[in-house]
Amino acid sequence: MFVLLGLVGWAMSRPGSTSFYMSTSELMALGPAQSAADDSRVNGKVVPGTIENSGLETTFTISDGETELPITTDRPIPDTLVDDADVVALGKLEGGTFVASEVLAKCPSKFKAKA
Amino acid sequence: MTSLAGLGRPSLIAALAFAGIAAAFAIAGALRSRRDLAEVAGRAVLASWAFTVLASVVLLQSLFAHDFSVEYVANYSSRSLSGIYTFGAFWGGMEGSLLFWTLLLTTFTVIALRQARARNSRLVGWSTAVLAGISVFFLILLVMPADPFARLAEVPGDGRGLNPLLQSPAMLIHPPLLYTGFVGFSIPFAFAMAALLSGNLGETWFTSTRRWTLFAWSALSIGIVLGGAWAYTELGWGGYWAWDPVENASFMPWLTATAYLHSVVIQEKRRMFKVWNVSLILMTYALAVFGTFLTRSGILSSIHTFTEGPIGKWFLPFLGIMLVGGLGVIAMRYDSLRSNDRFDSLMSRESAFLANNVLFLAAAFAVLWGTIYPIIAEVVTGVRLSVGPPFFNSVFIPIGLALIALTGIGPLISWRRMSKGAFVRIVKVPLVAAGSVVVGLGLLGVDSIGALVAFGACTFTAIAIGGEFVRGSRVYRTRLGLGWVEALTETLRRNRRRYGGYIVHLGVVLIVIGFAGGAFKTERQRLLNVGDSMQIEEYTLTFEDVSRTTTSEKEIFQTTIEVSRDGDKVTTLYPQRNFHLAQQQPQSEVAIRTTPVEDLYVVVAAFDPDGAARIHAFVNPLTWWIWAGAAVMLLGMGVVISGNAPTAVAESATRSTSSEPAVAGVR
Repeated sequence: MFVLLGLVGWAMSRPGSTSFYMSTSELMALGPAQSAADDSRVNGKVVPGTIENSGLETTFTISDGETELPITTDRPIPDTLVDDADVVALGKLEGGTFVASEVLAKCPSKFKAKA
Repeated sequence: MTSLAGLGRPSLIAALAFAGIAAAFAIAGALRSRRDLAEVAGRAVLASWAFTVLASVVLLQSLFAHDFSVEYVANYSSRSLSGIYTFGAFWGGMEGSLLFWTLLLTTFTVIALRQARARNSRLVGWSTAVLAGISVFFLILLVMPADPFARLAEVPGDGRGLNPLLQSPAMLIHPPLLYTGFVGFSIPFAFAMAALLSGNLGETWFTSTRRWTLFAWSALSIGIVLGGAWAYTELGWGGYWAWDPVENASFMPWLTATAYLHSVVIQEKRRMFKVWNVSLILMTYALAVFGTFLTRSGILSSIHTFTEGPIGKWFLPFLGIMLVGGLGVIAMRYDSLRSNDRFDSLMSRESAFLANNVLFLAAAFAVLWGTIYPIIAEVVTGVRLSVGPPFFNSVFIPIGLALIALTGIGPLISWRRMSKGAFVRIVKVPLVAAGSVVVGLGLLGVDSIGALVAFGACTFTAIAIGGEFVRGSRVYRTRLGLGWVEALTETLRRNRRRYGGYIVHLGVVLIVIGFAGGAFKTERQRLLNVGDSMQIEEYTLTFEDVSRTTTSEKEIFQTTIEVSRDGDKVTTLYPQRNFHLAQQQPQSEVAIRTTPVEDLYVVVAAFDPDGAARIHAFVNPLTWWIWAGAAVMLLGMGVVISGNAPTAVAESATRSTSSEPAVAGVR
C-alpha cells in the first residue's frame, strides 16, 4: 500500500505529469511571468479563418468567447483542427503567443447546436 | 422508403415498462419463493428484449431511409455515407450507443437466464432482478435524456454525416467489442449479486458464468487493442495509446477483470478469496459503468467524448446504488463468505496469485487516480489540472514489468508450498536466458534501462512458459510414446484452460515486447517539394508525385513517396491528405510499411499553398509485435473458452506439471 502511494506520489511529481488546465482568459489573466514557468493546457475554440500552414508551422487563434489567444506549433496537428473546433493545447506562453507542443481538437460536428 | 421512426419511442417505453415489471416480479418471486411470479418476470424479460430489438431495428431503418427528421439520423449520417458506415452510425453517437448497450444487455440477459434455467440454477430469480434493474436504468436514459428518436422541427435536406475519422473498419468493430466486454460483465456481476442475495454462496455463481466472464474479457481485450490499432492507423500521430481518460475508462475494468479471472482460480482450488472475488466483480462492473459514464458526461475533456449532454447526472445515482447495494450485500454475507483455509507458505501458487491481484489492483487504482485527479483537484482546490502521459508511464511501467515477471514465475510455483531448492532449479534456465539477453542487448548498445528490463522480463517469462509446454509434452511422450508434435497437441487438447492460459500469457509477452520498442521510436518532419528527399534513420524518402481526384465524398490528394535504403529501393508509399466535403474537414490517410523489425510510418501533415508537402515520418521499432501478440492472445482465449467447466477441487493438487498432467486445468 505504501509502496503504491509512494509510486503514485513520485510519478505525480515528475515533470510533465500534471499541468494547469485553463481557458484563454484565465491564462492571459495570469500574466506572462507565471504562465511562462511550466507547460500548461489551454482550452478554447478555433476562431474561423485563422488556421494557417506555413513551412513546418501551423498557426491559429483560439478563443473562449472573451479572450483570443494566438497559438503556434510545429507539431503535427490533428485532422479535427478546423474552424470552431474545441481545442486543448499543451505548451507555454512566449511573448503573447502560445507555443504548443501538443494540440488536441474535438470535432465540432460532435457537438449539438447550443439551443 | 417510408420511415418507421414513429415506432421507436413507443417501443422503448414498452421495453422500459416490461423491464420494470420483470424487476418487480423477480424480486417479489425471489423474496416469497413463488414460482408463478418468477415466471411472469421471465416472460417480461423476453418482452423487454423484443421491444429493444424493435427499437434498434427502427433506428437502423431510419438511418437507411435517410429520415433526417430524426435528429440522431441527421447528426450522424448522410446520403453519401456508404451502407456499412450507415450501419456503424447506429453506435456512432451517444443516443444510439446507449441503445446498442441496452440491446446487448437485454440479449445477453435472455441467453444467460435461459442457460441458468436449463441448469435449474437457484440463482435465476435474483439474477433476473439485477439484470432487469440494470435494463430499467438504461431504458430510462433512452426514454428521457438520451432519446435516439427525438425529432427536428426543421427537417434538413441532408445529414451531417459520420465523422470521417470514424469511417474506418476498426471503428466498425472496436466500439461493439468494447460494449460487448462492458455489458458482458453484467452477467457474472448479476450472478454474484444473486448468490449473495439468495445465500447460495457456493462456487456456482462464477463457475456457471465462467464462459461469460472469459467472453466479456476477451471482447474487451481485443476491443482495446483494436482501439489502439485504429488510433495508430487513423490519427496520424504515430502512436497507439495516449492515456486519454476514455482509453483509461476501458482499461480500468480490464485490469480488475484480469485480477478477477486469476483470483477465482484460488476460490476454485482452495475455497479462499471469496469476499475478494465478489468485490472484484463488483468493482469491474462498477468501473465498466463508470467508463460508460465518463465517455458521456462531458466532465473530462477528451477527443473521445460524446456530446456534453445531461447524461452525467443520471449515471452517478445509478453507480451509487450499485456500489452501496453491492457492498451492502457483501457485508450482509460477510461471515459466511470468510474462508477457513489459510496460506500454507509464502512460496506457493496462492501467494503468487495474491501478488498478481495486488499488482493489478494497484495498476487499476493508479489509472483511476490519474483519470479522476483533475476532477478531485478542481473540487478541492478550485484549480483545474490535467494529468499527462508521463504520470501514467511512470506508474505503469514498473507495475507492468513486475506483472510480466510474475507471469513467468507464478505458474512455476506449486500450490500450498514449494521448497527453495525446487524453486531455484525451476527458475534457473529462464533466469539465465533473461540475463544473457539483457547483457547481449546492453553490449549491442541498447541503453534504455526500461527497455532492457522489459526485454529481460519478457525473455524470462517466454522461456518459463516454453518450459511448461516442454515439461507437459514430455510426460505424454514418455507415457504414450508420442512424437513431440503429437505430444504438444495432446498437452494442449487435454488441458485447455491451463495451456490456453499460457498462450494468452505468451501473447501478452509479445505485446510488451512491442511496447518496449516504443522506447526507440524516432520521428522527423520536413517540408518537401516534388523531387525532394528526406532522411529518417537509414531510410531515404523521396517525394515523387502528388495526384488529385474528387469523389462525391471527398477530394483526394495522394502523394507518391519512394522509400530506399542504402540506395536500394525498399517500397513505395502512398500517404494521402484528403478533404471531406460534407464535414469540411481535412483528413490524413497514413501509409505504413510494417515489418517485425520496425514500422516506417508516413503522414502528409499539410500542403503548403505552393504545393510543398509537410511530411511527417516515424520509425517505430517492434510495433508489429503488439498486433501479433494480440492475435496470439485471441488464439489462447479461444483455447481457454473451449475448455471444460472447472473440475472438482483437487485438494491434494501439488505441482501438477511434471508428475500429474491429468489434473485438469489449473488455470
